[in-house]
Amino acid sequence: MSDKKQKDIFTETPIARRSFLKTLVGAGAAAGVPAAAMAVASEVSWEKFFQTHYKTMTPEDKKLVFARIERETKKKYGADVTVHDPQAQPGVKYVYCLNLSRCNGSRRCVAACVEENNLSRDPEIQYIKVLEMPRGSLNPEKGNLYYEGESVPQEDKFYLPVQCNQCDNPPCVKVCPVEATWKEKDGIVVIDYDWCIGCRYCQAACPYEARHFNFRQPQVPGEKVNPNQGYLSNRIRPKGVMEKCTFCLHRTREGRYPACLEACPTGARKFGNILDPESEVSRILKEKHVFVLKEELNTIPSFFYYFD
Amino acid sequence: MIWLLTLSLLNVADELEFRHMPEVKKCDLCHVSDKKGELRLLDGKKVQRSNSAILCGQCHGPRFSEWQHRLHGKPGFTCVRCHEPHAPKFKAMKAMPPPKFPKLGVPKKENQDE
Repeated sequence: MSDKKQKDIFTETPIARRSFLKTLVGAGAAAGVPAAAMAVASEVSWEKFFQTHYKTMTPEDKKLVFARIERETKKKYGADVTVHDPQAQPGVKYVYCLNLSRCNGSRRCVAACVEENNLSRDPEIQYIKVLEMPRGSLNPEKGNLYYEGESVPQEDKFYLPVQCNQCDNPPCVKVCPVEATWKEKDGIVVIDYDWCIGCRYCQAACPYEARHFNFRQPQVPGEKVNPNQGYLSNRIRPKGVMEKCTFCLHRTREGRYPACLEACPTGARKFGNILDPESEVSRILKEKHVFVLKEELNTIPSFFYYFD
Repeated sequence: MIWLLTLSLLNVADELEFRHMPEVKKCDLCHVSDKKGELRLLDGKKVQRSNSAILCGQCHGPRFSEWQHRLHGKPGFTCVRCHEPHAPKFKAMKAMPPPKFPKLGVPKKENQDE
């Protein structure tokens, strides 16, 4: 039995944290295991295995971690990328507003999001779900996610894009057993992908289906990898962790708009700082009749919808 | 010369898809015919083409005000960047392909159909 186990740990590279621990525990008593573990570890990387939580990293730690991620991305995807972590700016709280009268369901936002955030092409992961809704209903369960859209918008339909609502009372954060996900000061809920253990509690807790699980290593064509990567946002996720929309924080914290907004052909999407009274979202919240999805759940979303 | 210019304008007008106030057939309601690139306001004043939003704002006042406050349109876009002035209504477009229907584990029959 121990022979088989040892064979496994040598063939399986890179070794995941969990299987590594399991092997250690399972074959703990066998002689020569420390030596085997050392041999495996030299193939993995000690840095990754002993990496700390993002919030406890010193700037030197971060430098090493970002360098490791860049190295690994180069090895796996053949792309030269830079990983950075722009910090939340003081006096900023991000809010998204979406004009449902304008949205024509062309799914340009979805495509732009996939490109920007290095989302896996196969298996397919998409942060934005555009639901084709019958007129007169706001029940997302009546929406059709898989509409073909030869000619949009259809006369008797409207289109409801759903993505992470960046709730102020986020159920996904509460259920995380290892605090791998938290809410930043500017209102964005982020995940430390290297700390996530992949238990998927947050996926079950989220009422907006905004969280996605990497069942496999994300498949991104090397030439399509976005080189501008944020540690907490769009760097290519490892296998077996959760991921979600982060309002493109690697862009928005540097003063740019999210990719979905820039791709929208109709200008239905509005994004900005709610604490700035002159921003477009402040005006929309003042002047339009906005609403949120599943208000009764008291998640307090930062994502508002309106008709005009 | 002016006659030739007028003729060419008329030809252009024939080819245009004209859905914006189709009952008004006068190009010079908005265009200045003797000089290219200038537009005429209703009170006879002339504006450059780069300020065409003022021309639109003459009739579409509330929308113009929303646009000024960045509530309508996209950041940095003028009216004519999205709306063809002679047929301003948005055209229907083809959507990007839908996500693949998931086949989790052992696929259900109804899962495969869609």
